[in-house]
Amino acid sequence: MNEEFDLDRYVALMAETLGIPMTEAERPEVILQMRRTADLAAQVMEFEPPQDLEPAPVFKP
Amino acid sequence: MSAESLLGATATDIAAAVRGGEARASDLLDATLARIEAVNPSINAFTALTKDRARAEAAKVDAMVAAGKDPGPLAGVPYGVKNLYDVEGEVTLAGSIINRDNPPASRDATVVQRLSGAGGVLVGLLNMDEYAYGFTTENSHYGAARNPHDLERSAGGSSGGSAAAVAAGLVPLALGTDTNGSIRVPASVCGIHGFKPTYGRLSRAGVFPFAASLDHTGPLARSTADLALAYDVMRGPDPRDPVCRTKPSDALLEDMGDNVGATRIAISGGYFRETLEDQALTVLDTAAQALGATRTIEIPEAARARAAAFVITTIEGASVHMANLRSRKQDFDPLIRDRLIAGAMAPAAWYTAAQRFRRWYRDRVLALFEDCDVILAPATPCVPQPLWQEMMSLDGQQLPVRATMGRFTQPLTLIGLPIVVVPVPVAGQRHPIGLQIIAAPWREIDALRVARALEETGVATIKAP
Repeated sequence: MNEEFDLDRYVALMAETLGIPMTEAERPEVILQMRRTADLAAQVMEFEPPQDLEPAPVFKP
Repeated sequence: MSAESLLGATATDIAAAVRGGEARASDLLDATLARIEAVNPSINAFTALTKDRARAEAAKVDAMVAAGKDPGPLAGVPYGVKNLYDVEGEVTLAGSIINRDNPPASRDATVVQRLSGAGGVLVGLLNMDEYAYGFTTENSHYGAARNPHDLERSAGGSSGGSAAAVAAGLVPLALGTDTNGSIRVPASVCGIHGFKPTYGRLSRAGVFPFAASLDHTGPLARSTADLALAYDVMRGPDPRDPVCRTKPSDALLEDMGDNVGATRIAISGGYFRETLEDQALTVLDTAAQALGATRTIEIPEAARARAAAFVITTIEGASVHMANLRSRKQDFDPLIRDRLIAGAMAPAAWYTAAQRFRRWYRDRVLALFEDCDVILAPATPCVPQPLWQEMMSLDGQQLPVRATMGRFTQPLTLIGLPIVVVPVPVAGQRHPIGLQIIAAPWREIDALRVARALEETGVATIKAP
């Protein structure tokens, strides 16, 4: 994962994409939470399980 | 027997007294409501009382006893439920103001229906972090639940109201929910018993969702027998919950007293002995010694498991609230709002990676149970922390309080293991830390037997606040 990715730009773009209204003043706290989430996600992303591994939740019709 | 003498008693003792005609459910209810009115303002555990329903349920129990009929195994037992459970005629607020706009629930959550159907008397609804997204029950709309052992400290969360009500002796039994530790963390820091059965064991129908692939229901109580009693009443298939196991479950109460001599007990090492207060280690080692457990095992990749649980939670949680995040985000509790927004924005690749890691991790942890039946671990790394405090110092590190409380619970809910938390008081320490007794999937009985054994030796016991 690219650890240098521009969170400020990402958050602004995603807010627009998802239709979540966000002022300039509100953005820093979301960026902070996004940074925390990204740091934890990085731990998950660097793990490489076998390609044929099923994800955990299994849908049962 | 006076009703007042039953305040603070276990559900088992109350039900025996009511069924035996020694006490009336209605008298006990009056005494319970009087105690709640006297004590609740200082701990803010109950956010609403269901007096009319409680009076009707208690009167029904008394009428059945008078008629020589059996009102059920929870006869006259007052109980409360986290405000995440549907209660017929009440709005399921989930600790929010947004849900005030929802209609009242048209029926009880399945497990509430089963508790009341067994003679339980529902007295009220309990405080929680908004939408269950927290470990401290600091709720900006309804105030914080306060720890009965120290009113300046958190009762844990997100089922903090449930734990505080039981610890303060307001009710002997309460329901909580546990997605990342929300039964186990408050049970730990309030010094009571908590029980999170296997994922899919107890119905979640009629319970407002947090993160569906991790959500569990379960009881908090003042004895291990009461945990089993509540479980036995609530267990069983439920077509209303797609996750609920269709195979019938065995009752636990009758078999939980069996000798634990043959139970292979291991002590968690590595991650579960790092970044914690000395008291948490003492809890773990005291219990291990009492049980004669000497073998230490390491749960692999626990830190990554916690990270995966965080990622899955924030993304699944956000998906529940997407419409309100768009239209009225100012109405969310500021303590959770920005985490939900971040979850809404997280790339799908993070989520699928976390779900794939989860499967890998499950297989590795289940392999550990080939050589042991239960694993002991601390429930929280520390005692309850002062309310509204942002950071804490642990092992020389500055860590965020609200996230750190779940350090030892999150890696385990990720794979749905059944876990009992028992209080293990340490001499000279005012604030509690609990012990997790972790069993293999569907082996609740192993965890409960060990919990009962610790209770019988006096190692696990409830200390009066």
